[in-house]
Amino acid sequence: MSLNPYLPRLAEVLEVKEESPEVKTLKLKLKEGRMEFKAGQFLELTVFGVGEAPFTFSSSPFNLESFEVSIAKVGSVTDAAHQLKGGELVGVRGPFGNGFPLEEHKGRDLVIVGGGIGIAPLRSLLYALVAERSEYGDLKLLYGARSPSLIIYKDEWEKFMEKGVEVYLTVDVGDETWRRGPYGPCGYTHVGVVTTLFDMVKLNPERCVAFVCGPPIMIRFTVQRLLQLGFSASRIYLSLERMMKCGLGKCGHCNIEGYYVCKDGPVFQFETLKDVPHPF
Amino acid sequence: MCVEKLNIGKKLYNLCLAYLKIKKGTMFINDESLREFLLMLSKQFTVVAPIMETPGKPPILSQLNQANLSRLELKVRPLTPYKFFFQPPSEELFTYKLGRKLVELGYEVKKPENLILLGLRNCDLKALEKLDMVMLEEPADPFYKSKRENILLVSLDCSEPCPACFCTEVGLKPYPEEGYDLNLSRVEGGYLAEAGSRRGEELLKRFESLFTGESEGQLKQRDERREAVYRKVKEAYTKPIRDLSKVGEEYFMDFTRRCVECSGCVFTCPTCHCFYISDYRRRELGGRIKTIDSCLFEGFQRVAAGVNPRATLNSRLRQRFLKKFVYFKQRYGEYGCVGCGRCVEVCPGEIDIREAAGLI
Repeated sequence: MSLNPYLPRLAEVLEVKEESPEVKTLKLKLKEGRMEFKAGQFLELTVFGVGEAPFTFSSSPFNLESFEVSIAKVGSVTDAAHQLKGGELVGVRGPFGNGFPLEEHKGRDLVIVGGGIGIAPLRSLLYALVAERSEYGDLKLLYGARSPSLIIYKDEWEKFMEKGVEVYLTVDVGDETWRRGPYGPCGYTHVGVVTTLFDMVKLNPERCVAFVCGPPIMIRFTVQRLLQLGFSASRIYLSLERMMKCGLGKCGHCNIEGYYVCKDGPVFQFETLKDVPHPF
Repeated sequence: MCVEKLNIGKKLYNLCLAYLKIKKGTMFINDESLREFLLMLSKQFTVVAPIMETPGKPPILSQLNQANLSRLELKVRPLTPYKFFFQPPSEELFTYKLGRKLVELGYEVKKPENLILLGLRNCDLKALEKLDMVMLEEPADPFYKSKRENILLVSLDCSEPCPACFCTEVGLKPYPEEGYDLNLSRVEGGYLAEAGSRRGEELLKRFESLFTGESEGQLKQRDERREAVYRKVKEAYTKPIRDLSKVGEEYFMDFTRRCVECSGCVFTCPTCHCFYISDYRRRELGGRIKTIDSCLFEGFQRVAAGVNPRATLNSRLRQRFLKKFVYFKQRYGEYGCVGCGRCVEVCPGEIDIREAAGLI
């Protein structure tokens, strides 16, 4: 590792995939060495000439050849990231943070709840889970987006179903395409916020663990719902976002009370945060 | 890890002294010779010291020279924190050159040469130790580390604590015990000088002729003065620090009403370490800098998509107080405040951290 922890490593953009009008997935490969990470960890991506911003890995942690980040266009760095083409160089620092605690929940059922771009780290998590499918009980994914065109990883959901994940998709507002498919065969024609999907699934809180990522309001209501269903606070994990600038626990930007999201997170047990005034 | 290394270094040094039965060289220098000592130092080194620029106002840090030596202020601590010599307001992290399918990265860790900071009190030395905990925690910040390893620290016993001082209440003493290269203690007619490191000893040795051996009486006098200053600060306070993790958010509203978000408290605070990271670019050349930042600024935690977890001033002011008395302690085992009182002096809204902490 470099003696300068602020210095990024160079990576080449192998492929850019447009997932939705708002989201692109970059497939990256380090110029030197391999990126080893855990699902749920994040990296700092540099678009040279523009700046640096944090993104969670969205690809399988078992793929050591390349890695992916899915980027929603919301600001200057993400705008510039959307302009990138294959062959261009970017900078990466990381991996940072803790990742999802999978080892301790082997043998249990898992319910994974994602909203909007919050699905990105959960996709990495799903790849990690299906790679060791037999180690876990029932796997359920509840994923909501604002509209059908904003559902990302469209060509991957059926593959996850084939690999033993129950996939439930929903949109806040449907349209023609949503009503008649293309997700019809899988039964994805639901309209409503992501928490309404809980009515469609049967969960056993005794043997189930929840992993949640999404916008603050979605996390708030999902946690509320999980608690109502009988989940204990220690069985709910949240992947949270703050403005992680340095990733090293020094710049002070990403704290939630006494915790740094870049070091103690980004995955938090709800138990840890339940007495915090406004964690999300 | 690096913090440990530094501490181990110090411990080893003290152990060696004890083993060799060498008393740390304490010497006496009279007022006239001190003047000469500082003058010579300022010619051989860059010496930064508290200078009285405006009578009646606290001194500020400035480069010591022959012209301002008469305005050197060794009684009252400066309003400027010493942290800026270790964490400059702006610092380059690396540069890059962009070419076609090519990016060249480079950086330089500059080593400060011959820089002496003069006049640090124990609060300032302890503040640096706290910055060490953050900046030297692995992976260490190499820019900070280089400055920390190379800048010489000449500290002072507090002889005139400011009305806003409360170091005793956060567990500190108003005189240095470690962490300095050379410490000066006021006694009748001059100062006792004590080396705290090899480099401090070398400094004493280099100017040997200006110093004389100390007498038993002078050491006793020093200890009495230290005790008197300690009592003076200690007796100003009767209440302990309140557990701010147990108070509601509304507790801070009274302070929030008076806060103008200027961040004077943050910038004069010797332990506030938060920084921002941003890029600049001129054609194919660019770079990244870290700049001083403040948790009181509205955009401190706002993310690109617009969500701002600390959108209210009250939540930001609460953050600052809790960082000092709760969060830093959770993380590093001690308060993040050294009780120097700079934030009290500088606040245009008369917000008093001692009041927030329940001391007054």
